[in-house]
Amino acid sequence: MRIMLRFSKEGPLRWISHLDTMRTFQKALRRAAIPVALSQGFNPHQKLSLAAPLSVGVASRGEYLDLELKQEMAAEEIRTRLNGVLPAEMRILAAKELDGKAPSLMAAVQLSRYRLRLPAELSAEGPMLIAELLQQELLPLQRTTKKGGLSEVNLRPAIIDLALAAEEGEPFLSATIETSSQFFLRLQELVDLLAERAGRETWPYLESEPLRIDLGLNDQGRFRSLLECFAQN
Amino acid sequence: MKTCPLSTVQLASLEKPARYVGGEVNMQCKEGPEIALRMVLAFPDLYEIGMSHTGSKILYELVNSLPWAAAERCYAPWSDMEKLLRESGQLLGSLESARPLAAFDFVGFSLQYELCYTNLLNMLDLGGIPLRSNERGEGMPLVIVGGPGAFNPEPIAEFIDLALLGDAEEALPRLLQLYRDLKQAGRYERQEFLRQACRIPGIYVPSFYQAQYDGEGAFAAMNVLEEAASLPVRRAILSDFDQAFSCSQPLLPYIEVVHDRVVLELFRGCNNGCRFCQAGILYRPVRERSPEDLLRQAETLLQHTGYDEISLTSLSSMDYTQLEELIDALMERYAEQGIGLALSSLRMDTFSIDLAEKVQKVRKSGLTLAPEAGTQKLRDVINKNLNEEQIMEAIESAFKAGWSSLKLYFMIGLPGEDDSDLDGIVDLAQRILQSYRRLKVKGKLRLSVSVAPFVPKPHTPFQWGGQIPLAEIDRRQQYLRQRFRQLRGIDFSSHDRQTSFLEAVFSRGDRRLSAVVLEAWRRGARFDGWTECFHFARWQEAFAACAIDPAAYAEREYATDAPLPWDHLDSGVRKSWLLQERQKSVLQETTPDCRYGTCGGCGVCMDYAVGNRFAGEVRR
Repeated sequence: MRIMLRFSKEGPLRWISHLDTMRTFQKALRRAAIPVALSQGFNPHQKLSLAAPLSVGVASRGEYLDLELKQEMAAEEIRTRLNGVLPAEMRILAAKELDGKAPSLMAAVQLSRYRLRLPAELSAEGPMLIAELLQQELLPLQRTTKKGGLSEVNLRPAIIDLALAAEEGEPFLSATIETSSQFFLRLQELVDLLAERAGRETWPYLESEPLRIDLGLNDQGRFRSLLECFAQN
Repeated sequence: MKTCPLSTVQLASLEKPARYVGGEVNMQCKEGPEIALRMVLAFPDLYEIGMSHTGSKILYELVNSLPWAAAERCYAPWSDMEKLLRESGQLLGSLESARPLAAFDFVGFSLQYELCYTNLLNMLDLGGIPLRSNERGEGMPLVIVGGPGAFNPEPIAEFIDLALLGDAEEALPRLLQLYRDLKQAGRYERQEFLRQACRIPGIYVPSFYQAQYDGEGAFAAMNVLEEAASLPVRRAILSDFDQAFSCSQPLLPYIEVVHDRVVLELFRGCNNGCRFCQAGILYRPVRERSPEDLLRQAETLLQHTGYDEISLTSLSSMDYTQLEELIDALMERYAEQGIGLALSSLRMDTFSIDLAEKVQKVRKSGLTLAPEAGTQKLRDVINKNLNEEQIMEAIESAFKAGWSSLKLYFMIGLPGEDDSDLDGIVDLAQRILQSYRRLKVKGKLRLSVSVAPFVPKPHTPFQWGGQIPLAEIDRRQQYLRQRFRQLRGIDFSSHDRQTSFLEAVFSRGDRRLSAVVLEAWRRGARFDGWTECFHFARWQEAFAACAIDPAAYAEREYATDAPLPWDHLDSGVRKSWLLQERQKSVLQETTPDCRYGTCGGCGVCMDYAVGNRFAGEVRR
């Protein structure tokens, strides 16, 4: 039986790595007595995997874990038990049974949705900036290749959507970008792009207190949350 | 929970921000009007080291179990964090509440070894606390040290207010209770508190004593300045472990640390009587926990942690009288769930190897054994009761059981050592290689030999003798390196001799060295136990600036009737017995473990009304 968990990673937990997160779940699953299936062989380990890596320092309310059980247990039961043993800054927000034929979440993920705080100076020109950016067909960037040379890539197709919102009087940017094995747009690259368009110096993306909102699939240009896909009916 | 005051970008600039943000599972943040006392357990080393230290976790839970007390934590900041703190003007604070160290009632440091002194000073400074005890006024915390280093804290006596010698499980709550009582009665005053505190067994207040030196600059006496202070300061010894506090929800680190598994302390103490070993003195007699108690603890700990490995820990785990029964019970209960067992401190005999094999059925990581000396003569000198036949038998069992990776630990510079003893190390290693080949075991043997310079420790039979000169350590290391290079197939490593030299200076040091510690810290000395951070030149300059010759301390030979700078601190055993053991070592006479019936007269049982407590029958 396969389970999909959506969880948050906030506060001090922003600073733990992918592997640290895996280990945290391994221990939590044992504390909560969740019957996780073990792999075969010399060094048996629990069968769980995280859907997508998250850069250290970035908080999230939309991380996903793919879990295989050796015994049946209701998804809601798993959610309650885990929340009972996890720290406050790591909450299981949703738990669903996955369709047995669903691909691994790691292979399926295509898009990430982030919320970024914009520098105060950009709040006025924000809407115009974004509209103008989205109008472009070509947003070039020089990336260094593995061999050390430079290659030009077009970032525009990797930007699915940009929208502005205000939260408690502060301007926030909601950005839905491609973070798949085909193309991976980095947050720093997005920030560099915005800075360039605004005619100002770029800033370290962590200054924007990035928060990952969700992971999803690209459904003909529209973002579709992982939570909606692959669930067992 | 108050968060770390550093910004996201600041934290992101650090090597491992997770060291400084807290939020771990089983962390306790106690706020509220009922909290009368707040203590910060400040570990004078990196997070990864401190979070591997079981003693600190026990104290954390112990103090937090008192309804009116709160314990928080702080670890030595790495150089990048120190720079950030100094540049931003922020004070070093606790992980739980980001309170600066200066805001606590007690700041407690665990002294595991001598090379953490500069980290201790650095943490006080970064935490807003005046370094010298006599500079701290009423509003400042009380700085207390514990751990094995508390048995000779003289080189840093000037910087601390109290030391706790021995088991903290009873002594620390008593100390904290005294503080609370005085505060509640409105009668708290720093000096009055210290006067009453020094009456608690195990508590040492350095300011109540003054060191006296003679005309030649040798230590002459420790004068008692305060009526309430005792001479000697007695050690705190817990007689019964089953009644003692034990951890049930230890702190779980998120990041990788050195030791990350359930730790079961089988017993405290060790009576093997190895003459170089300070721990064997400071923790005797042997007090075992019952298997029932240990099984109960294991269950609780697994429930609260979710670990998949249990480590059986003690100074010499193999001596636990109910070891086989315990291992069988643990494996019966947990093997199916995939929970593994790890054994530390293997003894060099076939029984131990068989047991280790039982436990490591699936995967065999490397085996570590410590013969310590290469010849029978030297092993008898240090009372490591082990003969060549036993060693070879044990190692052959290991090979037959499937171990192909072996690490051997030895010391050089032991009393009475000469080059033939060094040859003994090489010959032993060679015989092990030959034995492996003879047994025709599959695969290649990975044999490594690690050698460390002997550091004479206070409160041991070897406390009167000095370390061999640095140049001689170098010569012996080179000699061994040469010989092992000729042998081939053996990986040889030797511990940095300059670090060992510095350890030797401080381990039998006196109060005059505090100026050097301060000077070295001022010159940027930090994390001296870390190769990448240790700069011998800084220390040499510090010694020169204070007009002190470090070799005079490291190599000092004390006459057996000379007063020692740590005589006023009682380790539990009688000085006369240490002297007796020293004399026996010169004659190459051994002393058996007292568990087999013959009391050697060390005095701890008689003087402290304690005794060896075994969970089962003592077998040979």
